[in-house]
Amino acid sequence: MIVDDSPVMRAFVRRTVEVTGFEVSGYLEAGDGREALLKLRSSRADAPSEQIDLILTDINMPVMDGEGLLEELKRDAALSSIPVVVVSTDSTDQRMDKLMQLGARSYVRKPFPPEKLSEVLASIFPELTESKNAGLGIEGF
Amino acid sequence: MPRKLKEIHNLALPHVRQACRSALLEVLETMFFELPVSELEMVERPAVDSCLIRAEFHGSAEGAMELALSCGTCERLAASFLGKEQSEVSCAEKCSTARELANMLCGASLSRLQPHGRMSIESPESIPAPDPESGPWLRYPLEGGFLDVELRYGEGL
Repeated sequence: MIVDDSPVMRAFVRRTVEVTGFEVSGYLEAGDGREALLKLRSSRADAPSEQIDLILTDINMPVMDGEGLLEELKRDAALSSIPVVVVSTDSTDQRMDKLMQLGARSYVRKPFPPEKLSEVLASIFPELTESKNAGLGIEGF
Repeated sequence: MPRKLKEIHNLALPHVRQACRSALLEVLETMFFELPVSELEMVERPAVDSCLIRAEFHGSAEGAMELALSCGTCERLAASFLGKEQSEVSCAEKCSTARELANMLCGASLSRLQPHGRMSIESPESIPAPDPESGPWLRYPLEGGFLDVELRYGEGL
């Protein structure tokens, strides 16, 4: 799932994930944290067997920001295990520490080259990286 | 009521200019695959006013970054960013790309100027004209146009 209030940034992240070579079976997108939670819960109710493997989220968003989203995910037992990667321009040490305390798995500061996102995805899904390097199909997030 | 600011920083100051220059080079090369066609230069006013964006920020430093670019330059950048042909880029995509560019440039500049600061960047918005007190501006020359940037901020009392 890609969460960002900028539709072009969501498109950029999606394209960058595709460039990294991780095969993705489908994307959910949301413009803020509240919409993300609604879609995650709705997806879980409608198709419990289809798992969301990763959330890539911005921080500064209207309605519910990235910190709010992390807090809500942490409280929801059914969603708390989904790894969250923050993709944002806001990269002060204090902010990153707080996001990590809230449960973010990693952080990508904008601007970023595709290799940076690839590196983060590889750290979260090492088994997929081995398959990718072997040129096999991968079911990513 | 706006907070009083004890010291105003803008692009007339070498450290602000350097931070903004580095941010421009990093963002445009990394995200838009654009290199400057000649040296960046300082100008008093922006070259065009067809697309003007302002990103305000608040926190340990308060101020705004303004961007000025032509519609053609905006279309070119949006096409690079989205991996499309220029003819395929919609008006909404051009506007959204310009706002995202302002957001990234502002964040990349502030992270250099205030690495330990705590600031929040508001959603960038289109404005009808540059701030009358703005300037000087830093000009990034692209093929077929310019991107002009202005940054002004103060540290709160």
